[in-house]
Amino acid sequence: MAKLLDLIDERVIAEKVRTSVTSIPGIEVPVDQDADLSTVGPGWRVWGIGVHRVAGSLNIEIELIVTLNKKSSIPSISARVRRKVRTSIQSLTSEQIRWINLQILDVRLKD
Amino acid sequence: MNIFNRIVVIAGSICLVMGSSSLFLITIGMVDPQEWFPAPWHEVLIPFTQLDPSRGWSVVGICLGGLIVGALLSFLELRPHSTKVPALVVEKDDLGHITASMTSIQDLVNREAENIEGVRESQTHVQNSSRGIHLQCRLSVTPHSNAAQLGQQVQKRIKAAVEHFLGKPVLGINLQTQIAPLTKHTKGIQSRVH
Repeated sequence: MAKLLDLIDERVIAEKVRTSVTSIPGIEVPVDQDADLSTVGPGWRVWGIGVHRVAGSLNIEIELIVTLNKKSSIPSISARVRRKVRTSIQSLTSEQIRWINLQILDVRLKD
Repeated sequence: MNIFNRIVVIAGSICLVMGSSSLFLITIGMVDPQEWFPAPWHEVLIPFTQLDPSRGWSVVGICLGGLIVGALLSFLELRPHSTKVPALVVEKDDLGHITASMTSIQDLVNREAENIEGVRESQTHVQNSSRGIHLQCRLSVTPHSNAAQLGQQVQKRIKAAVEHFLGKPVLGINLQTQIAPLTKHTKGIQSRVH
């Protein structure tokens, strides 16, 4: 018997992803014309986050502006972002997450 | 090209296709202007049905040319343009991929190089392969600097920075140094380290 899932609105997921990602120090999500991606609905738009449902699973695309210090690196900070996104989505829904793709648009260095 | 210019080009090319095909069909006698076109136009178009063969072939040639140009312009303007920023795949696994824009990596390398004493300016081109990254850097250096020593220092710093921040191996760094300020000219970069 098919498992019934409560499908959460994509806006709620996109906003949750955005909030969780930007809570990580050194991570920004682009807005307006700086962003290539967005999740759009009637009268709203979440910049820098793409949420798609494909064959019953969630695909998440995130654009990032990363500020690195001498100890951090893109792979380590990306792993942290993905962990945080996965946890935050799992707190909302039991839907399966297929992909969490990250697009780093800019890298800044902190002295 | 902005949206208004694109609309003008699309409308113009569609007019060119329609005009050329109409004139072509009239000239070869497949369409009667009196039946197909309203009052002022058929009078203009009737002479095309009475052309002598040599002129007729010239008109047919011009029409076919117009048809091809119009169709080509319409195709070029109507095909979807990619807006994706060129990017380098940093990591790819079961959970998806992580990409970094080429410009962000170029900026990273340039900043690292320009932090070294003796380097005034840096321009970088990044090439990605399945095994790692190749960098081509052009440096503008101060007149009193030793290009050979400075080059080695720059290569070490850039290699360490890119490998640390991106987690990908740097397979080669080609450097070109000059005293003059950098221009857009990219010819003549010679390999120093592989």
